[in-house]
Amino acid sequence: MIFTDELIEISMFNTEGTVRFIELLRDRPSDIFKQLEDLTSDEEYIEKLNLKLHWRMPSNRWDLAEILWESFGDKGDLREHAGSAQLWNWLSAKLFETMHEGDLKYVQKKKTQEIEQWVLLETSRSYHRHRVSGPFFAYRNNYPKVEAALSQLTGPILELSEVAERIAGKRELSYGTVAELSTLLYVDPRTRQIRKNITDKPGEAQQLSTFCKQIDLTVDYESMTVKELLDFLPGNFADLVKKVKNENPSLR
Amino acid sequence: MPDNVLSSKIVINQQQPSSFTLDLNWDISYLETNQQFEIIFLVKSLGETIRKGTGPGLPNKGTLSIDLQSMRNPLNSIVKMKVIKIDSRNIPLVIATLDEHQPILPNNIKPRKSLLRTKIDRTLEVPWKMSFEDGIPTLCVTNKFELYEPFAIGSPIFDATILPEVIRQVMLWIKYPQEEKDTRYVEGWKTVLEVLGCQRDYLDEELIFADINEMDVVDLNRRAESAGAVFSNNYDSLGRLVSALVDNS
Repeated sequence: MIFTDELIEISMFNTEGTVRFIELLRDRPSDIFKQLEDLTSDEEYIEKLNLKLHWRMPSNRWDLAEILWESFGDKGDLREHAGSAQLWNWLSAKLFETMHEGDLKYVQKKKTQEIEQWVLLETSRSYHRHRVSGPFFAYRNNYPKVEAALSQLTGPILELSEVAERIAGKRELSYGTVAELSTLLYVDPRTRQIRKNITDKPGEAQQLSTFCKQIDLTVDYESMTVKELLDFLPGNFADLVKKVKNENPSLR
Repeated sequence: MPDNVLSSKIVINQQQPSSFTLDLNWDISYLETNQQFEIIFLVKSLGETIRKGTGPGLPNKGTLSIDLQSMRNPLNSIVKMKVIKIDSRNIPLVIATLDEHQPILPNNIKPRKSLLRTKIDRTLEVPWKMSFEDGIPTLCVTNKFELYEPFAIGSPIFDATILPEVIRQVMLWIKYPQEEKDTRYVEGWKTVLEVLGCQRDYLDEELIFADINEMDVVDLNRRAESAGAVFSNNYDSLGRLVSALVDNS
């Protein structure tokens, strides 16, 4: 288990290391935490980088993104390695016990949990579901306007909200003014959590995704400002748009 | 837009050999417009996008370099090019688009190879089919109903149900005489089929059209089905093989 304020000496898996990690995730043996600890330090499966990450226990996905940004962000020691899937896989294995707070019963109960939540594969199109790197990339894709990424970064570290799934899962929606729009529409600015009862209502995240897809061939919506986008949304978003404008007088 | 409006190549950064730059060269003079427009490039690679515009009112021809250092998989990049015109209501209208443009990779870097090449086929009227165009086994998957996505993320259900049939068809392709077969793929697949219980001698011996008799066909079909069945029945323990097949063998 990694404790808060601990410096993690970073390594990356080789291919065999990642395969072994996948096998452990599939099997979830009763000593999985011990086996992961051994695997992440076994020189047969890793390559050491001689770089360190300052770890603190995050309370939510936003926290996790900020912690990782310190090391993998534009001024961090690990910035050049942010693109390495094998590094993220190693870090996932290293943090697996910590992020589950050592709860073996929960880990084994979630045996069917998708492997892509912990392992990045070159072929994966669902990087956003990765529990460790996903928050970081949502944050980085919107840096320096990181508040825009909030709709993708609410909630506990082990969960991905339906809004985050919709927004982070479509790259066209996950950055820039569209990401900012999604945060305004779906995040309650007082609680910084997803608005209550937002799903199954007119203007929900799925409908934003569908709308953007429909106009993609005719309008370069990504270059529009948030105010322009708010005024451009169709009638089923009217209630949400009204709410956003009430909360943000500058957007009226 | 026609494909020839854009050429592009990925080059290695001289100062930082592990990172890459994308050089773009475009010519849209065929549009024959005097209107003010802007060109937007979207460089996309597995969930990441870099967006860069030329700024309004540039000439019909031009070049642009985009730093790909921040990308996780720069060598898998594809480029979308949009020509944008701002209308009187200040809405950026797309007047022309080129999508799925693949840049040329650096000379000393080979594209990521998979024994099973895959592609999205928009015209496909069935969920998937095998193609052996260019002498390379290719799994074509429709993009309707978001079927490609479960395949691309390595869905176990998709792999376990489709791959046995893929294996069967590839074995028939290896054995039947064909005008064109990429030998690198043939050799790779023979190794896979050996793991699945086929005899190397049998695989190495290509059928000759003139000599093929009914017994040969029955025997081949039986062996091909058997290879698929071995895969299907041992799916879990063959997990590594799946990775090798679909990932980056």
